[in-house]
Amino acid sequence: MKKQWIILVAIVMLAILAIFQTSKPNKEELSKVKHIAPQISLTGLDGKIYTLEDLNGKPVVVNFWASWCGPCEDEAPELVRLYEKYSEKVEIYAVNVTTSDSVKGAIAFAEKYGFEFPVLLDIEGTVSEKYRIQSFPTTYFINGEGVIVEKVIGLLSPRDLERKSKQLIR
Amino acid sequence: MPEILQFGPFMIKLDWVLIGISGMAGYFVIKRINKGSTFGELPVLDRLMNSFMIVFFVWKFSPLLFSPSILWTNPLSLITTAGSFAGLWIGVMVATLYMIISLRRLKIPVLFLADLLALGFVTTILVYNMLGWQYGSATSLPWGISIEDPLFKYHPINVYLLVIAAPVFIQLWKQRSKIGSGSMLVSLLTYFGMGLMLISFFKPKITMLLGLSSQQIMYLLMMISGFIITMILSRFKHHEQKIIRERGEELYDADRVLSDEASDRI
Repeated sequence: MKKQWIILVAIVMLAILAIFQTSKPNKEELSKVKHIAPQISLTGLDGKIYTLEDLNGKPVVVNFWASWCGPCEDEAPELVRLYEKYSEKVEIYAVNVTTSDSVKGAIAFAEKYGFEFPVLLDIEGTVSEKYRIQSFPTTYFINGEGVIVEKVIGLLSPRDLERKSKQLIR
Repeated sequence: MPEILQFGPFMIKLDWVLIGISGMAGYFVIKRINKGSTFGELPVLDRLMNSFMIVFFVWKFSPLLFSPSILWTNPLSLITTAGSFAGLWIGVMVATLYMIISLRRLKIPVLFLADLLALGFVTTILVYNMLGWQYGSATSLPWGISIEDPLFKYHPINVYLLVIAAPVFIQLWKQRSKIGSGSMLVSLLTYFGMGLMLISFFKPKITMLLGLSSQQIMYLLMMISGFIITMILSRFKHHEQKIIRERGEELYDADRVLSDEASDRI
C-alpha cells in the first residue's frame, strides 16, 4: 500500500511539473513540426509579394499544390469552403509549385475553383525546397508565432482540415 | 532520410514503413509468449490481427461516415484521402468491442490479452526508436544532436526512449510467467507512462489543455489508469485472500465438529 502512495505522489509531481513546464519552439528554421517555419517570400497571382511576417501573428495554412494533381483538385473546394468560414482568423497561402507546373495551369486552376485566398507562385522552387516538398498536396499548419504545428502529406478529409485549422485559432 | 519512399508511381511514408517493421517485431514477441501460455492453442492472434484490420479499414473509409455523398460524387477520392482522427477512434472502439466478444467466446480473460499487448507495445517502441533519430528541444549538453545546422543541437529523444523502454521491456519479460495477472499492463501504464512524461520535458510543447500538450495528457491518463488498475487488482486480491481465509476457517470448524462427533461416537 505504501508503494502505491509513493507512485501516486510521483504521478502528481510529474503532472505539476508538466503543467508549469515552459517551452519555446526550436529556433532553427526547418520544415519540421515545433520548429519556426522557413521564410516565404513569393509573388502571388495578383502581383503582390507575400511573406509570413506580413501576417502579423495571424495563423496560416500553407498548401503546396500543382494543377495536374488529382488529390489537389479534391482538396481545392474544401480550402475554398474553409476560407469562406474562417478567413478572418486563419489565412491560407496556396503555393503553386510552378517548377513542376505552369503559370497558365495555376491560373486556370485558381479560376476554376474560385480561390479567394493568395495563390503564390514558386517559380524557382526555393520555397518548396526549403519545405522539402516531395508530393502533392502537402499542407503545413503554422500558428500565430510562426511555429509549424502540424504537417500533412496527402489529401486531408474535410473534417480534419477544419479541425486542424480551428486548432490554430486557439 | 527522406520522409517519403517512392517505388515508381507508388509512394509510402517512411514513418509507416518503420512503424510496420517495429509492429512486426512486437507481433513476434506476442506470438512467442502466447505459444507457451495456457491459451496457446486458441486463435487469439488471429482475432488480434482482425481487430487491427478493423481499425485500419474503419479509419481509411471514415470520410464516408461523415460525408456519405463522396460515394456518388467522387468515389475515387476515398483511395487518396487519409482517414479522419474521429474515424481512428471509432475504429479503435469497434475493434475493442470485437475483441471483447471474441475473448468471451474463447473464454480468455481480458487481462491475459492486456498483458500480451503490453509486451508487444514496449517491443514496438523499442525497435522503432532504434531505427531513426528523433529530435527534442534545443540543448547545449554534449550528447545533443544536430539536424542540419551544427550550431543547433537537440535532445536525442529516441535515445532517451530506449533508456526508458529497455528496463521496462526486461521487467515485463521477467513477469511473463505471471501473464494474465495484469501486472505487465500495470507496469507498462505506470512506469512507462512516468518515463514518457519525463521525456516530454525535453521536447518543445504545444499546449492543448491546462498547460499540458496532447501527448502529456495521454501520458497522465496512462499513469492514472495504471494506478487505478493497481488499486482494483489489489482490492480484488485482498478480497480473494479474505474468502480463502474464511473458507479455510469454515472448513477447519467443520472438520473440528466432525472429529468431535467421531470421538463422541467412539
